[in-house]
Amino acid sequence: MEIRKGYCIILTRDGRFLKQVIPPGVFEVGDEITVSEEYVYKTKRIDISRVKTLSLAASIIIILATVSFFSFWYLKHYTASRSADAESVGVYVAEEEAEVADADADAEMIVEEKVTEAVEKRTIIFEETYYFREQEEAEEDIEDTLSISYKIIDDISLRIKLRNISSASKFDGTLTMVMYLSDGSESQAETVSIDELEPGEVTENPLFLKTEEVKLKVQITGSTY
Amino acid sequence: MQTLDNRVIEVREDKFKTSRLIYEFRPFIAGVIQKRAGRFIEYGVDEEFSIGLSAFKEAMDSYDREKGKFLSFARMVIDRRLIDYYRRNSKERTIGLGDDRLSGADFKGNDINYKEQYGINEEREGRIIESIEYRAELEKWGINLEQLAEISPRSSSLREEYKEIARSIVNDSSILKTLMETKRLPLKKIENNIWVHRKKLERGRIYIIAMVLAIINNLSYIDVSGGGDK
Repeated sequence: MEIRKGYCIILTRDGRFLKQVIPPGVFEVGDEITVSEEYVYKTKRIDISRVKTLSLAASIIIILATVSFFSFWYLKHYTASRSADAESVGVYVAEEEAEVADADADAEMIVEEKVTEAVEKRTIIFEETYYFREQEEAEEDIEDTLSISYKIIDDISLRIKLRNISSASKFDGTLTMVMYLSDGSESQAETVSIDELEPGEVTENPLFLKTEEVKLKVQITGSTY
Repeated sequence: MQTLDNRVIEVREDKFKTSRLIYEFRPFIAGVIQKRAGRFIEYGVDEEFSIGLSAFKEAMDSYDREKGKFLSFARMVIDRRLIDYYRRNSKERTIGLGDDRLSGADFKGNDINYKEQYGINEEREGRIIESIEYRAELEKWGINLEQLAEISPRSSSLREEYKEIARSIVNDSSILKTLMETKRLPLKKIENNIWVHRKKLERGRIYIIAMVLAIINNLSYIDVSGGGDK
């Protein structure tokens, strides 16, 4: 069924899953082998009871230390802050009223911005390089309009996503993805045309990964409208 | 059920489905590489594995039914690409005149007579495909083979008991439906239908699910019919 380092996992005819020691490079998945108790692979086991005792002791010490620290800190600050509380309530109410007034002003601004955004045509030119072996996934916003992200899937492919994060603008343009080897040479490149990417819409592009590839360069050019 | 050969032809225009198929057949690819390399190959570490993945994809792209069974063809392509790789990296170059590196389009089954050298008989191919598909099915349920090897009952009578429970589950459409929808064994329903202690059910839960999946997926090389060992 599966070959691991030093052993394989087999399924016997009567339904037993078993680990069997095998020499390297001899068998493939699908081969039939004779099961022998002599070659059953045994996993090394740690003495769990000892680990449990030590973990319990460590946990108790940490809890006691934390409780002591916070008790001391609380007692020290509690007596000083009691007198200041009465004054701060009045101040808090006044601040709350001011916050409500600000929120109304903000709402008006947002409506204005949306209208402006819908009408304005903007050019976007973006280029970024990602070392995806060091950081297996990442996401980045581009001028509050687009979001580019990548993620390694199953060690086989790199999935690149472009999302329109604006509320009213569409995007037209191209997405170019270039993969590089560790020596800096180009390994593969792909350019995808993006037409009318609506707000909230996502386009996904997988690239088949090669072991030697270490770097991804992303270039986005286009405009919103 | 769709054959592997048809599936290869169907999915190769779809990058996601291609990736998925390659991922499922990693154990097969690794096995072919290990046989050539003579050692264990680790996913994502050994360069040979990357060569193998590329070769498998190349085989998918260039496969047609005239080339015979896909797995035999893929095995040949992987092996040839590994040979190319080892030659390129070998200190003692033994290549003769010209470049004998073959492109995907050059893999013509009739010209190279690969079926004798790389051909996998139907029975073995069936086992390979069933192993891969069963493994993929278990993965969807969050079960891996390592886990099954740890919890698999050693006693054959206990295994038979669990298989009997699995057969009863498959034969009861309501229990099976609940299991498929929730991906959990409905212990109370099973307890009411079959005379078995709840603790036993709980201890054998993962193994029982594995046997249910084996029955549903018609895993042919283990005996789940209740007729004893094959």
